[in-house]
Amino acid sequence: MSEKSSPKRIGVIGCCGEDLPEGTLTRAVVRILMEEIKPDETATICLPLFLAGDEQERTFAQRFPTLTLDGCEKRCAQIGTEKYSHSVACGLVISDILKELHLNMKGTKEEFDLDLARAVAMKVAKRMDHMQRKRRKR
Amino acid sequence: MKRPVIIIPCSGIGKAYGTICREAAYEVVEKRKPQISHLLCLALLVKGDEEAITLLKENPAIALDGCAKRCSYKNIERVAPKPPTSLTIMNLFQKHRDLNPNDLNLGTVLNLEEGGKRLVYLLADEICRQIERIENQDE
Repeated sequence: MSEKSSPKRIGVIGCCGEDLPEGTLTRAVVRILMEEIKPDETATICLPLFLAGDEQERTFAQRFPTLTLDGCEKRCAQIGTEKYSHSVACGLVISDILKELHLNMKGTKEEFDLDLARAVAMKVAKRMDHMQRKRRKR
Repeated sequence: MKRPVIIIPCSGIGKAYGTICREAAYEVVEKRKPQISHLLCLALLVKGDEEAITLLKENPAIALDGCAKRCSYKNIERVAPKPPTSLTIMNLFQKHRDLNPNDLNLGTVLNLEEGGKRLVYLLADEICRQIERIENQDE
């Protein structure tokens, strides 16, 4: 789990699905947000920790307004988070983001496309900004 | 027809060890044992996907875990009739005493370096050994 306690942080959980290129892309996007675009505003957790971890881990989406990023319409990250932690503030799916960006999927399960991952991460960062603005208004 | 062995890596997002598990799974499923191994998304088990659970009820599984939390093992154990074979990066270091985690250049979560890739191949070797053991038991 990568989680630094700060009221500014938004939780971002990728499905990291191993069996599809979009799953690999979600993983890259979360890391790019954490390392490059929003290092001080991003908190994340390994999705399976909701079941394998302890109470502290299960409260993740209560402690951080959370955005989930799924690689397919099964929406495992969103449904899993809502089932075991808390309702999410925003549930995104890669195919919808690519449609909005007018981009096609690139990369494989083994290797993500860095330019595409950065473009998707920028789009997710905008949603995080929107969530932060809503949070400040409260 | 032989039953496939289901491989589920943890894909932990906080450390390079999660990436090592993920890439070792690809090495086996795509290159070394494509006929007998099958990759499954771990997130499906968190969601409670019926199809994934049925697959685990009918076939043997190998859990690959990068840290002591053992997310893959625990998530499989919850739904499968038998606990999966467990392989962890810690086991790998115990087995290969010549490897010192502090001396290896693992790389990052998104980009494994030489040391990380070395562990990928060692873990893939171990997965293949376990697949062969399971196949022999099934015969």
